[in-house]
Amino acid sequence: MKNNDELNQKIQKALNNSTQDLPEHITDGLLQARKKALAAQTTKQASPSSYRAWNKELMAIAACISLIVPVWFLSAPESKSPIEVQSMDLMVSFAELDDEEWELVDDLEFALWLSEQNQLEAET
Amino acid sequence: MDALVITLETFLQSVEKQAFRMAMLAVHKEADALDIVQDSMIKLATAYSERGSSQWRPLFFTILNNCITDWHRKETRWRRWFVRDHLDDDQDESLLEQEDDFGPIEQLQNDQLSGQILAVIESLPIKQQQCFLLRCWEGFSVQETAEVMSINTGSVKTHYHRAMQKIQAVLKEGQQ
Repeated sequence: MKNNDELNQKIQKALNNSTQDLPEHITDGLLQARKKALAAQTTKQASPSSYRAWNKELMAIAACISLIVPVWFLSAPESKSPIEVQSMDLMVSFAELDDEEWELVDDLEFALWLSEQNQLEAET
Repeated sequence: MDALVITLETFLQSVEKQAFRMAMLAVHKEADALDIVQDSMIKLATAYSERGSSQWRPLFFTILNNCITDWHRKETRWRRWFVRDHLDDDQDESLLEQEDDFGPIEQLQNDQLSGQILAVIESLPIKQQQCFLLRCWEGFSVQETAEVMSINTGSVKTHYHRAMQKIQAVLKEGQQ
């Protein structure tokens, strides 16, 4: 047991000594390897976050479109002014009139004109 | 984030020389050993840096062990395809599968103890070598070593015991 421990110590010492005086080109190579690993780590950490940010922007745009489109469709009929709606209703009602009703409309217009004239005379 | 980077950098700095030595003992080529260490560092940094720093050490050595194993697989495949004619049938076996092809100690030119020990470790089959280095040098337990190497604890004990026997035998020969 003691022999094994002594042997282990000798082996460890030999191995440790072998790493002490590595040539300069090896230590340079190890330094470069370390730098590359750290650069790869930084790149890897940066890429998912930018992807996530890009995803967020896409989600925001999609949400805006999904809100704007239905609102635009719903608000489109309301864009007509009340006057336009009234005149449209009037046109429809006039189109449905027969000859007798047209005579009545003419009479109403005449009656309306008469009343206007009477009002003007009264004012003067 | 800066704190995380500094911590990871400190960790990588603390293991890089051992990792290089382990890779170098396994592949015997400086450029390949550096590539293996760099790949292991990058994999740890990109895939596991967000985990707790206490998990980095076993994860790093697991990655390093896998990279070394991959290197040997590629090397074996390459040898099979391109160097088949120069190999005997006995040699044309995966380096990963070899168990008892202990290299001749006569090749050792360095009489110093450290040199002998390193040479013996270098000549060990790759699984024995990795197992031995993880247990003896990195101080992993049998269970941890088994997890790092993806083998069972019985295999860890066997690999470690065989490696120790070979080292002891070489040191005894050296003393005589």
